[in-house]
Amino acid sequence: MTTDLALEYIPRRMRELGYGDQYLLRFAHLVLQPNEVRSIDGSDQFFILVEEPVNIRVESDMGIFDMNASNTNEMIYEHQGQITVTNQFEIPNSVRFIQVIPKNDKKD
Amino acid sequence: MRKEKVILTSFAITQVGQIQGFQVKIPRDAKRIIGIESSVSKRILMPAPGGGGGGGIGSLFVSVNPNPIMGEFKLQSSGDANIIFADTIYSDDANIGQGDFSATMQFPPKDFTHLYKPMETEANEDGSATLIKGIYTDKQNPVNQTYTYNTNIYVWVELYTPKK
Repeated sequence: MTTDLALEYIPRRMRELGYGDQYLLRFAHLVLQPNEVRSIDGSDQFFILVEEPVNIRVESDMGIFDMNASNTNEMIYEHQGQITVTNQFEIPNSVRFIQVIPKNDKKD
Repeated sequence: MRKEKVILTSFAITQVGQIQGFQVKIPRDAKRIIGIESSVSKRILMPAPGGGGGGGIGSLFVSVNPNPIMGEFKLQSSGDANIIFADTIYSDDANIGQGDFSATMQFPPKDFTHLYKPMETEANEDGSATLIKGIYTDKQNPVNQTYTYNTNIYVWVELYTPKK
């Protein structure tokens, strides 16, 4: 998914999920050291992949993105819940997401 | 009159660690999703490690065995409910013989003779979400005996009945 497509996709998706325009966006560019495994708590958030990273594995409650994987029939770009990002390379590698953070309801 | 329908989606798991995405199409006349059930049916019939339970005199002694885990289902509605169902699937109830003194060693209780009454997990999602996205992750331990099997997901929906 390109950044342009993600920015087109996110408002529609957030409306579908009932958030309307009550959300914040952050661009998250993760840099991972060789063979690093990083856990992200993505509860109540969405991490949208904006590229097809090579030698990076993204696993979450919603599925997997790994261009090297042979055990799946689908690559998932929209992740939420507990997310694990793994650098499968022997050199530093990076991956870019758009992080969508729904706002909390304002209490009176 | 209440009209219900069950939609069965079934696919084969042939690899340990397989991650299978799938979609369940909800019919246009769906009023709401009542509930969801899941199951596995093994293709290769081999006894599960520690499966089946004891029965007979052995039931007097408490020996609790873990149920062999097969995988996990997650279902996401395309509407505002987001994730509506998550379940862990076991191949056998390894403790089905606990406290059952009627069985002999030659005829131990098995899932297919002593199956508990299956009931769906309530979802209560409205029928406007016409598509449910699902993901199944195989969680078999490759160290133990592994299986090729079919997984089944049953989505119960209530349909609109035409007014006369």
